[in-house]
Amino acid sequence: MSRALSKNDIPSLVLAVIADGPCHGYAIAREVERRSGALFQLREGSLYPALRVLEQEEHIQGGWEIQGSGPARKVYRITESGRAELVKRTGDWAAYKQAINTFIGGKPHESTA
Amino acid sequence: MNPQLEAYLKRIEGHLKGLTRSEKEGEIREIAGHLNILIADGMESGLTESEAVEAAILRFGVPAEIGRDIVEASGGQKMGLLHGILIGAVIGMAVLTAVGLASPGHGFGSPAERLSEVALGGAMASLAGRRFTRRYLTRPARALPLISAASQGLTVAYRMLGIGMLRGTIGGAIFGAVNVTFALLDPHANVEGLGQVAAYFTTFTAVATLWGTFIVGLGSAIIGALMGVLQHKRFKPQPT
Repeated sequence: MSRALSKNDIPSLVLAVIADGPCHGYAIAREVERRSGALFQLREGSLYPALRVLEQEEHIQGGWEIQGSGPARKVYRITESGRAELVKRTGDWAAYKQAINTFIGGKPHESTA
Repeated sequence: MNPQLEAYLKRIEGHLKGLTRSEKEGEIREIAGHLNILIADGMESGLTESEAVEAAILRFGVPAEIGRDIVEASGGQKMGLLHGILIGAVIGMAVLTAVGLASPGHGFGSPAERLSEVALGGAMASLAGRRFTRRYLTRPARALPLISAASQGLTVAYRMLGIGMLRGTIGGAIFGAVNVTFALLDPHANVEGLGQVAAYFTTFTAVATLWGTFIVGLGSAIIGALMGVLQHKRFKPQPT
């Protein structure tokens, strides 16, 4: 099974990846793929709008760096505000997941008619 | 660079409307870097260069969507110089009107005097106004440093101001030109010489255009602000 990711979910995934260490765009895409076990189908170009949103909100900071002998790459690091945001999003997601689980797996509401 | 990749990058760049040149260069440089690694991966797994480029492009996505989403995420389209000057002119006229009303004895003056004042005021205000609007009003509402309903009001007001100014400019120019034409056709008009006719026509039409821009633009902005605030979820009736 594989699912197309919603645009709104991509910033949360990107934030979770960058929280574990500085990353550039390509590495973020590979990490999302690895962690999801190829469950999520991500158009890799959609990472960049997500990165811009997180930069605008100052949850991450990007800077050009030369790594080894390769060309310069823009590497992103999480900020303090980004870590706080990730904690908040994790909590929000847990509550949402619980609500869906209750809804799908729980007892149906009694009819009011 | 591979011509297919170059064309793809150019298509993305074409959709980065409103970003500055250095912002565009940064985006394209970063995306090109990402695609080059994808292409190298493809070639390592046995694809030809052309196949690898095609696969990388397919994996990356549609240029129009990527460009549009990047522009939106980067804070929306930046304002052009002409737009900034128009906004500045409206702000300048608003300030001058307020000063004129608040200062006893400061009448409307001759059209030429008024036009000079407005042009000067507009030019000065455009410097401050353009900076302010670039910084705040072109950003998504959530990024504004104000409460969300006021942010939404300002954002809608800004959009309406742009539309109102355009309508006001066109309407004012037509109104001025028609008025002057009728005045000149009046047999009782006391006009001497072609130079005086040209000066009168230019001045009156320009003043009517500026005032049309000001009145319709400001009116639209006020209506936009009210609409924006009232459309906010906080002010919408909640289902019971």
